[in-house]
Amino acid sequence: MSLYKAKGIVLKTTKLGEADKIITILTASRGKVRAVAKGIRKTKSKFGSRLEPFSHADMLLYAGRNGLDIVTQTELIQSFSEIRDDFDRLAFGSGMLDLAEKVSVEGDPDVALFNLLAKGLEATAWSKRNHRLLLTAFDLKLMSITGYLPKLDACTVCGNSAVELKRFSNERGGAVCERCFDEAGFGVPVRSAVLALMHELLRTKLIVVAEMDTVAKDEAEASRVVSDYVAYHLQTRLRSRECLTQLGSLT
Amino acid sequence: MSYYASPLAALVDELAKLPGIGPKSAQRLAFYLLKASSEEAKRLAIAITEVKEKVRFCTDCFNVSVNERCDICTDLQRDRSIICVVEEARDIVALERTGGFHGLYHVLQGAISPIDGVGPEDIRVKELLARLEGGVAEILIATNPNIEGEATAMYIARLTKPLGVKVTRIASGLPVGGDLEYADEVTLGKALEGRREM
Repeated sequence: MSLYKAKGIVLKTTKLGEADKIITILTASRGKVRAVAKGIRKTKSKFGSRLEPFSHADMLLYAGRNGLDIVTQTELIQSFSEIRDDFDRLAFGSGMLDLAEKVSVEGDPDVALFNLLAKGLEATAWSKRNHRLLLTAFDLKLMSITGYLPKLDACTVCGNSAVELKRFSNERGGAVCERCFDEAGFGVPVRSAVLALMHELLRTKLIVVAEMDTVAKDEAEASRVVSDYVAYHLQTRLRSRECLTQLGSLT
Repeated sequence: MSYYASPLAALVDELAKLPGIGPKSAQRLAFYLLKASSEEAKRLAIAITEVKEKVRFCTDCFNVSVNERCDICTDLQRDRSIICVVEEARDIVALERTGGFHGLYHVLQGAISPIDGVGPEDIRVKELLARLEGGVAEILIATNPNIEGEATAMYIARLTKPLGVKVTRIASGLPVGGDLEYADEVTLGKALEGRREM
């Protein structure tokens, strides 16, 4: 077995056996890594809180067989305790971790994805409001780096940018004009202010999004449209989003 | 083709379904039972059947119980103004062993975990809120000090504070007998935050 070092963000943890956990980590150098942290659930574990979800840590790992490595040492780079100590930040931050977990691949390094997640968590930790808006912007940027950048400034069917866009099609991957809708039936109605907001989110840095002023109605609709878009293209069930719906009345 | 006689093969198969028991351990346990006296084997069989037939959840606190209400809920000596909220029934055993808590309990049967899609509707939060109507002055939240436990604690605190109930959280800090130098930053930070005057 060989030892290796990696810096990464803990995406999720799963209980294993009596006192162990399987830790899923997103690293810049090795993509997604799954590793066992032995004895972590014991109160006197040397890992303590260092391998909780959201932790950005420097780790020493043994490369194990069948895709499961073993964490031997870990040092905290950033705990993101601001996210863990606030319910709203935690709920929407979990949405980021869940999506990053779904799109990352073991053994396939993706620096852009790692950087996006780190920036997303930093902005969430720092923000006093706009938690849902940050998740929407994160989703859009993540779709863009995975090759599903939605076209929002022109009709995705005919390419015309001079017309008012009032529909959005998951299937076509962007905004659709009324004429193309009449001819081919693509898209569901989405107000043009919402499409404009989505376009702005794509071009704006996450740290700036945290302070952006938006119309509550537009922000809520953008969140719904983007969530549907992500679910449609990734063909996966994002459990964290279902949970956010349950928590909706509180957040 | 099975290498065992069929009743033995069935026992190995069933034992191998238990958590933490692999095929080799299942085989070892099955052979142990085969060698054991029939009384010992019968006692085990009866214990398993009885636990499934007789044990249920307490209608008040969702602790495991033989009766409709558990021994703690029916004990008139216990302080009814404070409810300690835990994730699992086995956490009650750990707390009871300390001998330091004399109130009632509430078992959530899980914890909120947004990453795994476990929301408040999947655990016994609604039932806890219903219990607060009966003159409860304090809720002590003793969920695990990990991300799921903290999320659950924050959620319950948010729901119950407006009702005028005092909400407290068990302290986090250094384990007794441990070395300070090995403590991680978050735990040590919490220990500093929760320091007390001597």
